[in-house]
Amino acid sequence: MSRGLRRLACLFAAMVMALAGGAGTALAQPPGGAVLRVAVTQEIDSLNPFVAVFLTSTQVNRLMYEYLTTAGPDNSAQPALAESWQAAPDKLTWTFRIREANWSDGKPITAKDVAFTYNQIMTNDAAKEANGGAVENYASVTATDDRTLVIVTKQPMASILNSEIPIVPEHIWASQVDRIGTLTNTETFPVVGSGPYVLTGYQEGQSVTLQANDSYWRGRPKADGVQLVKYENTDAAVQGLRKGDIDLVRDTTPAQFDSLAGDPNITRNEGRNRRFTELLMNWSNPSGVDGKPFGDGNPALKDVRVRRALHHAIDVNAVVERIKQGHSEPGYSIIPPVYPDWTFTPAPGQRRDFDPEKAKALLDEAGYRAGPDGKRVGPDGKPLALRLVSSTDVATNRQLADFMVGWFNQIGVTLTPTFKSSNQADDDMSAGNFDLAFSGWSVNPDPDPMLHQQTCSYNATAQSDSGYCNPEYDRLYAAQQAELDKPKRQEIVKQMNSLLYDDVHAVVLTHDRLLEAYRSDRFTGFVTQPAEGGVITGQTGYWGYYNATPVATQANTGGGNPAGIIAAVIGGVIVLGLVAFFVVRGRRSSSDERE
Amino acid sequence: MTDLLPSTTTATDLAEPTKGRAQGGLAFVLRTIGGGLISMALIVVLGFFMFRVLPGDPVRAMTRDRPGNPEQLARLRAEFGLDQPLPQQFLDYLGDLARGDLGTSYKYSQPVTDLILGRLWPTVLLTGTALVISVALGLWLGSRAAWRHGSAFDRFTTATALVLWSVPTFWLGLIVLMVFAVALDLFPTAGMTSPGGVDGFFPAVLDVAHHLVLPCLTMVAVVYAQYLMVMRSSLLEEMTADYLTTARAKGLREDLVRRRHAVPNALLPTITIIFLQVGFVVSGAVTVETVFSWPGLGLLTYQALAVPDIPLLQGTLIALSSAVVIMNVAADLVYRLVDPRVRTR
Repeated sequence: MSRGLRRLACLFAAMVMALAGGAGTALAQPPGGAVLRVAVTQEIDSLNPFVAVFLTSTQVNRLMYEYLTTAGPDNSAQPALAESWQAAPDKLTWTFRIREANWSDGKPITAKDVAFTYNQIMTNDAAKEANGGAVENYASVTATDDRTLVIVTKQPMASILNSEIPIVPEHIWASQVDRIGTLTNTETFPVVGSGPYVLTGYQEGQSVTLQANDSYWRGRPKADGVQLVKYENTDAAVQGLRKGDIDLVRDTTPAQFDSLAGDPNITRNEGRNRRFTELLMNWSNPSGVDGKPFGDGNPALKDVRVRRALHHAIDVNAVVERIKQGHSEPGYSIIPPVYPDWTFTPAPGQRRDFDPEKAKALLDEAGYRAGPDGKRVGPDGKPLALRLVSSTDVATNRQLADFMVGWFNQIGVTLTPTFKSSNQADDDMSAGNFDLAFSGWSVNPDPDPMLHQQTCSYNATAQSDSGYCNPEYDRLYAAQQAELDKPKRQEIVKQMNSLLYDDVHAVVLTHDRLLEAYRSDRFTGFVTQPAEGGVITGQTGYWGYYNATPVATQANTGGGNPAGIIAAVIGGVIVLGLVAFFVVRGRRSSSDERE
Repeated sequence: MTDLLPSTTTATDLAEPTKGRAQGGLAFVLRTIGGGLISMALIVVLGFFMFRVLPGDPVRAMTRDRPGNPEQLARLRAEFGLDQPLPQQFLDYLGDLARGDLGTSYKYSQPVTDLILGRLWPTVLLTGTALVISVALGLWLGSRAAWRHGSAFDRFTTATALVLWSVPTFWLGLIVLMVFAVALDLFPTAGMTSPGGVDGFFPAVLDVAHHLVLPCLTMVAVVYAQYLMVMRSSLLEEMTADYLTTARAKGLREDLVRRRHAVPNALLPTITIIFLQVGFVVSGAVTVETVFSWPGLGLLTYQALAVPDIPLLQGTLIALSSAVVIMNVAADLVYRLVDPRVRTR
């Protein structure tokens, strides 16, 4: 029995190896010529635009479906399916003129498609998952004719031009509305869309294949297709880029990014991104849900002088240079500088710089005097000791925490960091069970959602931040929401940012850059967002993928694959060896049995 | 199997003395299967409560980094059924399970059953192939090493196996990837197929096999040592047995003494290990799947933990543990078949 088993196993192994060896020669090129292959590490939750929320999935949806308006390379709202629009004097009624364009199956795109999509999200609970929040303020959406769409909002809504809602073809989706929340949108290919690319293939957990949309209204993209290839770790993705298995990799570590320098076929892109990293300070305000107190934040942090003192103790430039290795810039606002219309930089007199002496003075003023051992003791006689919650998911957090401990120690404040899984850390933050915590968000082109998150109503919810609550801020928030005149709205947003900064709602530390690299021997012409020094991937637009241009002469399309031949030869040798082995053994066994 | 001789060494005795062989056999089978069913029931209950104790809020995970507001969060909570009291959630869970419905994943908005089935084949392919190869390699090398214990061959194979066993899988995988995929350019760097797949049945099979080599190689390198060591030690125990002297006295060649007399007896403890490992085949190898981006079930489970995607976790727990339970039951039953001492008593 053992011999049979063993022989079977060996045979099986030989088969696999033979298959593997031969496979090198049988490998097909990706379909349709010059296909941009992008390594992605995040999972695809769904490609159904009513359901998809993960960054990678919404990126694919952006390529498949146009919006009414879209964020341009400069992050301002640009015409997309709507070629023009107008707000009525009541500030509630918006009229959009829909462009003459076709779906990828040749049928015309009309205002009815837009109305269908929006009304589904507004009325069908199953369709609300991804974009329900974006239509909450809509009273009605109607198509008065094929080219005219009228949206009436409940309250004036300045952010309406940044409502990122993928518009689906009614003639495809109308028959599916009863299953709209559970469709995968990969049931039949090609998936009819209006974006620069059309979805033509999907392998769960492995790849997404899109082909250029010939009837795209801006004109067919220059690349023949885009393929997202799933890599479970960026180490392997970087190796894949070196080898040429993929053309573009995003979100590498600084070490990986540096290791790609000097490769003549690879161009690196250090893109200014739309994220910020912050140090939360627990305000210990009551819950925005039921008004009850929650959490166990240190009451010392209720004093603005203490919060300012802590800010003065932090050397943000050291964070940029020594922890982020220069791939970052100091931050002041929860609206990143890639949005120049809405970001904020404090005036010289307002800005708080690294200044331990000033920090000590502020603590003295607040009644936290230094004891004989240099430790600060509060008016209640207790030493000023704070806890820092940090998630282990961000590799640099440990180092950052170490620096914080040192800086706070200098001013006599004891800091005790704890490291937790991101879920545990998030649980602590939502429940208010922290003094200080590292956090961060990605910000959309319209500042409204990020600003909204700092209002009192968000406290103790799953999206709460510092637990900030200032009635003056909430008043300004409502005012900017209703202000349709952009310069006036900018002025209000500036006041809000300034208020957040003076109140030290949190310490915004850095805006980290996104590290990307691509095979410039295969593709070029990527348009970044923002256009100067921005990112190729992870945009709130499709500019990077849409403008990718294949390099004219390609050495690596078609033809023989020498590696495959080598593999086949090796495989063949192994198989021959195993066959010989079995033949010899077989003879010996039979002679044994004859004994 | 005819030349199997009873030995005085340590085979685990699973059967009890009973009135009749057939009757005892049936009772034993029923008892074993019953035990398996009780284990499954406990797992079903445990799965429900265990994943609800996990830190993390699925609603927050599904709205992170996106515009949302408290009303939307509440709606999502209701959609997931998380606004219901825990006993009600438990009853719903049991009811769905009784109807064979493992629920809908929070993250993928897809039936959990579909997700698990989609990942089952890649997992079984990778871990199954690796298991077969490592068992074959381990048993072969282990029996040779024991037969000539103390020799240079023994020292070399044992040391190599132990070194590979101790190497961190992630590190070894990346080295293998850099050498065979990048430097030598022999194999692809990720996935189970070429992106988008390949047309035609035979090319598709070759494509999968081509992608399978490196992850399989890594897994085999890491795990074959356990079979080698078990085989080696159990054969060593047999080495001094009298029946081998008898066999030699009959004039049998050394090779034949080993293969037909010593190894079959030494194989018994190894079979137990193999069966237990087969149970773990479906849970796959998260590390290898991560390095080579292989779309396996282990990876699906691991990623579901980050949300936490409770229905998916419950489903994978049930799928993975039923495999282990079934293989345990099978091991008990098969052991009875292969070990005459258990059968005849």
